[in-house]
Amino acid sequence: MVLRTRRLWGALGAPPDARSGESAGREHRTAAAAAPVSHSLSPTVAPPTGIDLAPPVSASPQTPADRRPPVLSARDVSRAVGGRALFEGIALTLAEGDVLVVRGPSGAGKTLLLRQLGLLDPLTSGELACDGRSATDWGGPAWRARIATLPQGAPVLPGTPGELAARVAELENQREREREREREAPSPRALAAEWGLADAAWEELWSELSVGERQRAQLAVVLARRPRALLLDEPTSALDPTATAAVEHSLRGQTAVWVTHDRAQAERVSTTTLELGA
Amino acid sequence: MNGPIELGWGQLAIAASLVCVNGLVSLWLHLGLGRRLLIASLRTCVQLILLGYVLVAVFEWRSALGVGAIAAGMVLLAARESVRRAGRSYAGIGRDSLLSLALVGGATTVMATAVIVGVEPWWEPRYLIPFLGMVLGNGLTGISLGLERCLRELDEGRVRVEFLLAQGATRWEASRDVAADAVRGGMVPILNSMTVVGLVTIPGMMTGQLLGGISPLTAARYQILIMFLIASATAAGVTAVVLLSLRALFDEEHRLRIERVRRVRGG
Repeated sequence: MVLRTRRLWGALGAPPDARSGESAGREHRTAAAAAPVSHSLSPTVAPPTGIDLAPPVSASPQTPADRRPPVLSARDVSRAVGGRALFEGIALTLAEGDVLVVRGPSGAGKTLLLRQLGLLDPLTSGELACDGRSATDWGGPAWRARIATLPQGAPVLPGTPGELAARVAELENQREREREREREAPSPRALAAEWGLADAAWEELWSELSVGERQRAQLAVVLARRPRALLLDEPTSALDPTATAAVEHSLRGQTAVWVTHDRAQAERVSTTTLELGA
Repeated sequence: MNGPIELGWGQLAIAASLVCVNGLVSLWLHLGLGRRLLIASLRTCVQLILLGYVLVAVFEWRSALGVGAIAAGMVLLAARESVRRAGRSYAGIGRDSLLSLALVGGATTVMATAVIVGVEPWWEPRYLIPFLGMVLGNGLTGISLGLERCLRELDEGRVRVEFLLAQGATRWEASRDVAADAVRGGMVPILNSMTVVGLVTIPGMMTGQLLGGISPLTAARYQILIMFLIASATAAGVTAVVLLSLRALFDEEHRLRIERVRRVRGG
């Protein structure tokens, strides 16, 4: 059993506006390392040298101190299954528009990490914060209205996508966010239309849609709420390259933790990477 | 009209011979029901005769405490029965069922004797015990169906529940459809019987009152009262038990804890 501690440096490259143009202008770094147990959150700590490391944070133009306020931060998050630690001491900080790509072999705990960050499983250790407020302070539902999770595998649900979108929009916590929002939330239909989903699909039963259609509709329902950070579990696994590119385009500027097996996609979308070992 | 014709043991023996016909059919068709039929018939005899003796004692005793004790025993048995054959279960299911049956059964029955009928004293066993019995008997069916449905929908529909939770739903928002479905499921039998009562079936209590020499119109009014009691108690009882079970299966951070649902073998 290998227990490895990962450190992530939230101090990331360009601000969201600078990043919205070419992906070539986006900064891409891998910040995963086998290291002694450390729970450091500080962006100024130099990363351990050696393994698969991009230039240290301090080399980045916006650093040493990235002053953008963190949207999502986590400290010392661990998860064990049946006495075996899948990951330990995970720390991360995402500022507005950052995308952390999580990679690793099957069974490495990628989905479980998302469930911890999304508070869908009880937090066994560590702390989470969104916009400077701890998860405990937010409380489960208010947290999940901000740090929303897109479930894996585009499951078949009862009813139609249209019903689901309406149900999500009328949740008390979503309505509260709506009131705080300056801009109006986009419509899920308009979003999904950009990804090639026919408008008629919204009135069909989930069970009659293909997995690719379900995946786009579910992502549209979730993304349309513009969560502060989005936890994505292989959101384009059933999409063709054209639809995938369109989805990636719509997700630009959306703060996210993104699990993907697709190395090329990881390079396109990530501002930082976390490798989980098996 | 006077009381009914006295029914003796000899006459019951003739009725028992009818059940023997069932036994013969079972043997002939190899249904393997003979043993169960025998046990069921014996249970019917023993339980009802015991009930007769207990009621004789309670009616003569006329003590509020005694009636209370009997009522408590009835509620306990009903609660146990309502969760016994469930295909899915969770720790505390018996407590939740007991709580709902006790509150709802007690409130409805006391309302009926004290306010509606106006019995003096309100705990008069001749009224209270049959009312309670009917409310509990139907309530437990409703509760057991409602629980069954609730746990199944949560278990099989957890993807949707979690999808809503993952977008910030509270446990009540996420399980609204499950709860509505479960309450509806628990209400089906009583709604059905309210629809066909008097057309297809003559209810047991009305039969008894007719045999007892009460005027059919009075008997009909009593039966209406009973149906209303049962319907309201079932609705309240199923709703209460569904809400209690949802409270038990979500945690304080509004997470679905589906691992708390236990599948019962053979269920």
